[in-house]
Amino acid sequence: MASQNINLFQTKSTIQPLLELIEQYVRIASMSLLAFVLTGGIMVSAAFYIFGQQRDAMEKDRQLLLQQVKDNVSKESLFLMVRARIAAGEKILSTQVSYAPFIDTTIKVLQSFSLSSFSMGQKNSVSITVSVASLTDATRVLATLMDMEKKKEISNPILQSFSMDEKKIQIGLTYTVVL
Amino acid sequence: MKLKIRRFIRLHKHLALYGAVFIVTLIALIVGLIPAISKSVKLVSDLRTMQDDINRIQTKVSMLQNLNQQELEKYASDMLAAVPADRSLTTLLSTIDSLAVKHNLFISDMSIEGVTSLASRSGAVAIKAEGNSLIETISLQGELLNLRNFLSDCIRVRRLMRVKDLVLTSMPKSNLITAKLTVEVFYLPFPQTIGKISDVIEPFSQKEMTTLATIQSFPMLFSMGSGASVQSITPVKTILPTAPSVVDPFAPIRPRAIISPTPMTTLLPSVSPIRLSPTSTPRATSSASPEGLR
Repeated sequence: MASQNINLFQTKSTIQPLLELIEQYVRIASMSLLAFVLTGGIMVSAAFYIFGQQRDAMEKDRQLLLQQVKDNVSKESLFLMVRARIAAGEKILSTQVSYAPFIDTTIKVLQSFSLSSFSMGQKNSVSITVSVASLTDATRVLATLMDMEKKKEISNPILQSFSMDEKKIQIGLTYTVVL
Repeated sequence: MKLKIRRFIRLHKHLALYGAVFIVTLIALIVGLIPAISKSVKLVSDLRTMQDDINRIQTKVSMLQNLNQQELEKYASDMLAAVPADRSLTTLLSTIDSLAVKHNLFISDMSIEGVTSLASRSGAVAIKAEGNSLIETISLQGELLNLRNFLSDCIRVRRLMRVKDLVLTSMPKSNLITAKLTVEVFYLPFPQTIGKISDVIEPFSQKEMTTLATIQSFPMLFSMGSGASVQSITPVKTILPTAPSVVDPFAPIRPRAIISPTPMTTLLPSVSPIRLSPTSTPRATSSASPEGLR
């Protein structure tokens, strides 16, 4: 039986050649992108699984090791305490000054005369006051000082003061000890 | 408009389909795949960091296991004698006193600065690298040669100290010298933290071992508390009387003969005269309050 309807629409329009070309490109691009996303997805999932397993195993090892460190915490604290003290000791030892050489030099200058005062100054300098009975003794002290300067045991010897009364003579001297 | 779109879709079915697939895949790529790739890159980097961390902890564990506990305790004991954890005035005073006695010097005066600090956090003293210090001023009397030996020894004892200043004056009408010393004595509180658990610990270097050996070679002029025998205070057992000691407690007391276990001649002990020597018992006068003494 023949159809009684008349289709006035065109079932097929005239496809423009540009659209055909675009369709071709879109098809290729979509298929490629789909393949890439699928492949990438599978690979990333596989990587996640493998690395995840690896991370879990490593985390287990890490926890085990951390427990071992915790078991040795007393040793660690002792070690750190000793190390801090060694560092402090090292610093103290490096800045310690022995006053013995200064006294030794003073004893040498004094000979048998009596020391009235002694004080330390800047840069290894020493100031002393020696009491002697006579001018001859005073000369001996000064001669000793000059002799020590020649031997480079001291440097910059300075006669700071010289006072004389009926009983004794006081000589004030300053010198730098050569260490 | 809608009609136009419908018409376009009907006419270009394949183009629309491929276009839709392209857009959906692109969205999947942007929203899903690219963040997943970046996450997996981060995971790989995390794994690498974790591996480094594990290697470090492994090294630390093996290093800690190789340490000899007893040896460490000895080092700690030796170093604590040199630089104690607190001000430890007892060890300080013992050391100075022993040195003075050893060199026949008399301590005529002594004062200590910085003995106490406020208990509040703001009053706490910051810890320096070489430790915190106390300043002690000591006046010593004796011969110059003895003083020289004292000065030589005081920097070689196991309570580390540093002589900061020295002034000598002669005592009138004698050959003796009065020395006024300013000494800096050190202490280092225990560390509050031991750092991160994964922090690597290097074994003692040669330089550190040399310093340790140097300090160990110094004599210790006081006794550490651990070895000393401490007499414990025990309550005295008292036997309570069950019967009255006297029948009449208000009765007048009558003198009774005392039976001595020893003959009368030995009742009075012979008292030997006490000699006061300036060097045998040097008297230290500290300005520190007793509360501050630890």
